[in-house]
Amino acid sequence: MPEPNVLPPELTIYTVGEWHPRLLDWVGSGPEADAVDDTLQLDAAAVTEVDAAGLQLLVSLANTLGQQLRPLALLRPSQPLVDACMQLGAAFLLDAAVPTETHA
Amino acid sequence: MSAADLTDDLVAQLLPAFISEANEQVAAIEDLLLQLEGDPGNRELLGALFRCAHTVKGSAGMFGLDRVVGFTHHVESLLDLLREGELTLTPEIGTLLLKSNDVIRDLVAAAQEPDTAEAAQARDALVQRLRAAAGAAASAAASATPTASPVPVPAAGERHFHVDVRFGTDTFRHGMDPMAILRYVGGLGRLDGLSFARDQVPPLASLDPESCHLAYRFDLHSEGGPEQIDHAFAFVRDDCDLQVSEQLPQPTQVAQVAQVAQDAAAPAVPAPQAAAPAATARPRDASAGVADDGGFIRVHANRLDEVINLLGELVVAGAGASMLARQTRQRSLIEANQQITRLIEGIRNSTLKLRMVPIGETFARFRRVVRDTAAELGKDVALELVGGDTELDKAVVERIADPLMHLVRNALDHGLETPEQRLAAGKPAQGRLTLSACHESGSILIRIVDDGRGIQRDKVLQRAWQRGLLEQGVVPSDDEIVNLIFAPGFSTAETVTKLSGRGVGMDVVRSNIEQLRGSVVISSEPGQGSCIEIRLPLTLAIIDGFLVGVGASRFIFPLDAVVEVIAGNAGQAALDAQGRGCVDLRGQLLPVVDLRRLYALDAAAVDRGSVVVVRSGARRFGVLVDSLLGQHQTVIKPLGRLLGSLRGISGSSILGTGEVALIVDIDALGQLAAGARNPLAAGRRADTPETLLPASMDPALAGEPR
Repeated sequence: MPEPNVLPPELTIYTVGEWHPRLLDWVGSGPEADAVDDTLQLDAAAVTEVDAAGLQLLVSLANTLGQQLRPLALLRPSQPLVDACMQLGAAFLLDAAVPTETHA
Repeated sequence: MSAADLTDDLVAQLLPAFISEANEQVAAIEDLLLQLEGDPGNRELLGALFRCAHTVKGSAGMFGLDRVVGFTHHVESLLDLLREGELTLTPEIGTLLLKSNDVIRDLVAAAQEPDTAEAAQARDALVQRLRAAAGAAASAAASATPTASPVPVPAAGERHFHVDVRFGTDTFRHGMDPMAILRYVGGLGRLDGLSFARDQVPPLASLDPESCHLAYRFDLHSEGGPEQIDHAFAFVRDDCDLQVSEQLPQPTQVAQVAQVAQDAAAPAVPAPQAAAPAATARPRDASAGVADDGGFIRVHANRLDEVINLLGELVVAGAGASMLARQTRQRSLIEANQQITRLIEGIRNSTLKLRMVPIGETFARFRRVVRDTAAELGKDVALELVGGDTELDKAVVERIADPLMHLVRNALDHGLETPEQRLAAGKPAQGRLTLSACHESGSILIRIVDDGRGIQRDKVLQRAWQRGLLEQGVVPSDDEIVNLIFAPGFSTAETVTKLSGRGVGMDVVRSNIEQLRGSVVISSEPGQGSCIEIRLPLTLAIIDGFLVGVGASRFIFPLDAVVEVIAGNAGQAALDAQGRGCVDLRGQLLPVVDLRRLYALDAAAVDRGSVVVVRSGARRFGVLVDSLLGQHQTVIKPLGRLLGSLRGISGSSILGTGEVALIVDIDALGQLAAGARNPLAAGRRADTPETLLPASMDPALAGEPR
């Protein structure tokens, strides 16, 4: 399994412009040819700051993946991220969350 | 970070603005409460009061200041009842609200500090009282007027709202975070069924990550009305689509109560009869001015000071350039320079105006002081404020507040009598204290007038003798006696009260005022009251001056104080050793003072000197000078330490040529010329002719090191 992509500590209006193209890259690169499952895994442990703009970006990512019928899994989502998802009614982002380190 | 609302940086950046705004609202609340004491039923004021509290709570919520929100919420609930007429504003409630307002002020001030147990306890006690006051109203309303509320509300008083909101695309760009708003709404009551319109967010390829595509639908169970929801969205209302509907218990009466769409200026959507009270709950009347500051830009005072400093340099440089231009005798160059000078003057005037604030805000603070102090002393005092819209420099306003406070307290404590004493003296039981401000010849005149017992001259005199302020047995004029109270170390209070006898004497008040280039004079009529007159310059930065020469020295008179000029007429005056004498001005004797002799200037007398006639308060006198050099825009530089004790001089200025001119303090010069008969006038300052000498005109001595 490839190394998961890592979300930055700050996912706010100040950084969404910078991260938008990277997320596009992650989606565009598609799953590895030999991947058993095509879940896009994001390491979300480092996220310490997230606002509505940051969350919107993640929702947009999830929507994009949804069109490709690919699931999004947030690995070890940090507490601020979980709180933000709950507050903004975006708990669905956590549906496929992997709370503890399960990958190698 | 507790919850990701606004980032720490942004909070730190915006918090000062919030605190300053909240302080304004708190001051407005206090002012309104005090106004309401005289007119407790005034709906307009009650409405304004509610809005102020609401604004504080709203913006505190945006910053996650839960303590402020929590406490203000209780105040707001009580204010809501008052506004709706369900409760009458009694003096007790007024006092409770004033106290609560103080707590809000403290909470705002300590926004970033941790809470203390005592503070929390004190708050809880107040909350209990606020609740009790509100509860009394609720039960009274329930028993007395069961028909008052046509909307059937559940017994618990909880209402159910359905909210539909779509944030505008520019929400993020405006620095707003919907998360903070939702969090705030969550604090208004019980929020459930939050549904996020996920499909409104476009896929990454077509997403502009800085545009907001968030839309929500949720239910809110809350005791407040729909306006509280509307208010939660106040900061994004311009481009947000918000619909609030109240779910009435009877399914047949489900009525849309209020819709606040793009243009919120439109009144609430016409609602069925049953929902009318809720629909009118949030009047957006034009009189909301108290809380509105639309059309204003907040600028940090430092930035303004920077501009004014630069402008000061520009004025000096401009004067220099003008002088050089005149020397070339090139007409076009001179004209061009004149044009520049005019423009600089225009900029100067408008820039200085930016710093001007009405003194009313400072005055308004005294309502509370007078109310509380009078109550504490068992006195009944009516405060009258006149001329609150008189404008003066912000720096002056800020620095005059404390001396004013002291004088007002003094008047309350020593001047005004108790109702019994007043009645015994044949005066109305209620005392009057008037605080007024007006412009007078380029300065501002603040008067504190009371109709109390006046100053007892014999007591003052006794005290002055006792303290060695006067030689035993010496009796100066009445005016001089009353002004003895400004002498260092003087206090007439027989019992030192908590209010005025705190050792901060009137001499401190006077020196504070003098530091502002102002003056203070008291006059008093025994049994009739006292009048304290404070004269202050409008600004501390630049004045229009009149430049004169005495020998090689240059002096500047504030132009506003110059009445007229008699050119080449000084020969007739016979002067004494201090340079004092009289001249004949159109048949009247005019006292004059010769700067050359007064300051022992080392320059030969000229044949035909001139007289500058100046005005100091009601007095006029002439100043003998050698040459009249005309009008001059004067940037005031403080006197350096060496010249700081120079009497009759308030500052210095650097001329276009690089020469230093001394700015004459007309009042002080008048006092100085009036002679050293009054030992108090000398005060802490040296009084020998040698020290009066502006020995050197070296710019390094005047002004701060450059």
